[in-house]
Amino acid sequence: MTIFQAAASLRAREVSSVELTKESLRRIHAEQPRLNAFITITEELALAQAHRADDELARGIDRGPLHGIPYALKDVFNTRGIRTTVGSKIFADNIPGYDSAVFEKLTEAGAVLMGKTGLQEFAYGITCNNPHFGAIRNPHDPDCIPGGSSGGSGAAVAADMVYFAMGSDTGGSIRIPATFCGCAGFKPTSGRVSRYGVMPLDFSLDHMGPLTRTAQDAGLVLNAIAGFDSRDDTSSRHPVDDYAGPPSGSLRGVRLGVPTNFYNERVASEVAAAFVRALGEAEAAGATLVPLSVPDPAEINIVSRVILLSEASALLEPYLHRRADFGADVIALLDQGRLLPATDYINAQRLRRLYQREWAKVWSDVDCVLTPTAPITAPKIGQSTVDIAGTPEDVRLASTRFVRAINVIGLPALSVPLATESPMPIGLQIIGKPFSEAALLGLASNLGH
Amino acid sequence: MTNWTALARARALDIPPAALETIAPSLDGLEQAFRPLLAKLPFTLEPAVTLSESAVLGE
Repeated sequence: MTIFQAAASLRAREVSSVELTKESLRRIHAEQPRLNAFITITEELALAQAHRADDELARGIDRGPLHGIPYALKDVFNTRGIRTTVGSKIFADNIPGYDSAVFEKLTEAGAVLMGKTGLQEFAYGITCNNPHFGAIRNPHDPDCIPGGSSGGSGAAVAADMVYFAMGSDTGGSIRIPATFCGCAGFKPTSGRVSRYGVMPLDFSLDHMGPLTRTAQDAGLVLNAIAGFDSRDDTSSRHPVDDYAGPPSGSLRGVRLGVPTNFYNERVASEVAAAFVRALGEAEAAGATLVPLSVPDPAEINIVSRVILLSEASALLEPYLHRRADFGADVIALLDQGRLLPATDYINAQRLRRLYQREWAKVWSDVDCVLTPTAPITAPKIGQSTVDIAGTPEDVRLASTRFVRAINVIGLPALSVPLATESPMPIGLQIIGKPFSEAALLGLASNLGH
Repeated sequence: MTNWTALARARALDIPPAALETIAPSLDGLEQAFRPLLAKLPFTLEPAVTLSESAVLGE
């Protein structure tokens, strides 16, 4: 059941929030031993919030579509009095004294918090093979990774443990678990959703967004969490739209940009087949496919790595004397960041502006750009390289190759599942111009499976 | 090519030799890919992250 359907059932008195919450708890307890999607389960709080939601609805107080809906937060969102670990040993006992803006808004919207989901240590990576809290597993095949870093959120949504889960995305960390787990994942435009009270990985690349079962559900969540927040320096005053309007219903006349560079290189055959089929279906439905060359994502990915390595190492510098408390993957990245010269970081931020200007020109020719979300399906847990058409590639680099550049530019991007004969899910990435979230979500309902 | 071991020693970074050996190829690759991009930069182009008015005001 989607948020949209559950909200309708709640209002028709066919089901109560307490019933939805108890069923969600049953799913969580049944799946947690298999998937390890949660770090903390907030059962007592969830039942209290659900009772309150039912009581309010009975008294005619309706907080909107998320009222009474069970959800989860990635364990980077501060929750007052509830530990927020960032998937790390360093913050394993961290009890925040204040709430993140997203948690405030979701509480105000009447949503029911079921718990805090697992992630890659410090949200720094994509395998979710966490050395401190254990590996998170993919609901479609528990031997495979869920993707990351918001892997617990992706697994929790895909396994029907919650109706939606919040994630953070620094270089694909919402969209990668969405494609690997087979759900929708939305990284909004920079500044659209407040980062206040979220444990950061990278000040200039972090974005907050939802993982949901459908694009329409992502719009419902975005309606609750989007908007200006003076407590976040990067927060935008751009007007907020209605992100959950009715789907556009037709692709007729829509110009879909299809990159002729980069995104068609080194793609697994099953991913390429699903993507080509989706393009054919879109064209048959009246869309115009516009081949175009996008600003070189390979170069932007390099810029992204310099920025991320530098900022993450600067952020965690005070803790680096505790080397043994970091996992091997993360300490290796932090060591790299410490060795990069400051001049490289500054020049990476200058190059970023250059590429942002180049990307701005793309939107005169197309309404959105379509790519596969990742060139591969979910690899096995512990797998370090993946073979794509006979060429080995590092799993982390392959998984992030099609998504990380978008964080550098700051564009909104959504991943939705594609129809596939592959046993593992495959995602379609829909990239839009800044603050085009409403249009992207409307299109997505016609493009995804 | 940058000598990462010498750089770490000069900056007194507590990175064990084995760790440096592991990360050196990745840093070499990144440096090789990044350096040519600098030729694209117009002299007056400012970074995407700049001082904000609210920071100047101490907010």
